[in-house]
Amino acid sequence: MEILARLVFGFYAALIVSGALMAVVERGLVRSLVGLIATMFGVAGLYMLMAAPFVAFMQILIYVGGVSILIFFSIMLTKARPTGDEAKGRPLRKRFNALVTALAAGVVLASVILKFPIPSLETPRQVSGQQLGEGLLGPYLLPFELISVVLFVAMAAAVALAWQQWGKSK
Amino acid sequence: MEATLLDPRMFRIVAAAMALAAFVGLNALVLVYLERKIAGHVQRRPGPFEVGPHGLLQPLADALKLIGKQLFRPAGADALLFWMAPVVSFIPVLPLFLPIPFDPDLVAMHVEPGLLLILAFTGINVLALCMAGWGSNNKWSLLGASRAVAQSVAYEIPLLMALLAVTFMHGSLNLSEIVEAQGAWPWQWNAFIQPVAFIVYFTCAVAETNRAPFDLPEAESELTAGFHTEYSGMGFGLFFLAEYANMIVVCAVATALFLGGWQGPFFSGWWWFLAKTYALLMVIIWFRWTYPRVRFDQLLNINWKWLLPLSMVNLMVTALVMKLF
Amino acid sequence: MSALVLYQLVALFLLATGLYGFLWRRSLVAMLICLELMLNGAGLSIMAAAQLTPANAVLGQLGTLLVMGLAAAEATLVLAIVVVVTRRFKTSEMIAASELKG
Repeated sequence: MEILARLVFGFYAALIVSGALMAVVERGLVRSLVGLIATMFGVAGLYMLMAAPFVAFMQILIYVGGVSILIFFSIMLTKARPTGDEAKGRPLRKRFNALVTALAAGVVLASVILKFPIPSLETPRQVSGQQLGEGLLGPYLLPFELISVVLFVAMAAAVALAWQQWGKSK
Repeated sequence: MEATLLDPRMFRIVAAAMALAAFVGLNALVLVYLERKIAGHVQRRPGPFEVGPHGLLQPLADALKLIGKQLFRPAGADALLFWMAPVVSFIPVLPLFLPIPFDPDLVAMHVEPGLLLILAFTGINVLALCMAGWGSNNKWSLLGASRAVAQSVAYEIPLLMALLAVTFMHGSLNLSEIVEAQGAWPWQWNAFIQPVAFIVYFTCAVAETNRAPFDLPEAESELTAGFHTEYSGMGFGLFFLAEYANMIVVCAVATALFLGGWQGPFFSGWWWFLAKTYALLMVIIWFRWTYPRVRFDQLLNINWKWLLPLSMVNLMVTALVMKLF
Repeated sequence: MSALVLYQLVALFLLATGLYGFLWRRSLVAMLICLELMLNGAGLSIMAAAQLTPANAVLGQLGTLLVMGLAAAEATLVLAIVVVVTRRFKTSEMIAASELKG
């Protein structure tokens, strides 16, 4: 890989690592969210580096422009406080359990990847928007239609779940 | 894309980025002056007159004042979020200008999904509003921020669909291609072929940039300036700069997609692009001092009951016409 | 280490961190944030596998887009559930909502 590509990869990887750690460690929920947003930007940058600009911009549009705002609204609506249950200490055993689980999953999969490396292409494949469109309307038409059904069901269900008559709240 | 550090393409992109930053800065100054002058004349008064001949140096005085003010944040406000918000508001502005074709060979970067880049980075502004509202530790800021977010998120949908109709017609998300597909004369522009899309796009764009009559989130007479209540000096300056830069981007995209971009009946070039963009900017400024502010429920009504069905019908009609004729 | 291995390791880091956070955090919204981290890691892994191997690149990119769409739908529903739980239990902490003993 060229020096520039390595530098850019290192920058985005650092962004992802720091964002993920911030999302997991920070007590305040909005700070956690900021860490998540940093991670999403890092992942979008890596998609750009893999010569997939369409997916990179969709990542920003959907995740940063949509899901993050949903999470922010839920933080506001549930009036989350940073001094609540989150801040109380938890038994060391719980932290140990969580760490061991995460490390087990990570280490096992990492050793599989490192032991049986799949030969990687030198330059990423380029796929034009037209090919994606032809794929969506051709062999992958069913997932395309199904995802619109799923999104519709999610919207309708969210409205139905949170519905409250005006002036009749408990 | 094989690129080393000293590639001529890198120089071109860096030079283009610097030129665009200068363009945004100069335009912001010009727009501040124009806004206050037009406001004055619409209200039958001369506007800024003291500083410089006919008040021409007023924006410089404003900028100096903003830079010189003390930056302070309210007690109890989360420092990280409070200071990040203006930065997050301003930084996406620069990538927004990259795919815009000022001239056939004055494009900063030829991005294939150029329109998607613009849409993606426009959505980041909403996050800055959230962070400003939450980080100010002020219930009026939070209320202003949630109104702003609801408004921005709602108006994105008809905007996307109006742009989708144009994309259908030309089969490309690349702004340069769409500009070249239009003709030089006004009746060959997309605004005449797709008038509904143009009107829907323009209305949604005015709402997205929080300009009057949709400027409830930053209403000066209502929620004590909404989400940027607690910001002074350069913090406010950055929000302000980001708003003007967003206005310019939105008008530039409208020019490229609907008004034929840099093409003109005679002597096509970047001067036509700037002239058309400025004409649209004047219209936006004109709107501000003509229409009263829309109430919040009316604002959401306009979107969900009128603009959204209109843009969907437009999309379906476009698809039908394209398939049948 | 080849490019593919590096991308997969980053994706794996996201998965492991998301898993740790999901087990460690107590607030429902924080758990959702960690879930989104894991989904991002999965999407990154799929894209790397599609773009950097002879596998079908169109399928990989469409797969990533579908994962994004599903993550958005799922975030919507989880947040609606969190709002309902907060109304019922007056708090969005997981402890208050767990009524089973042991």
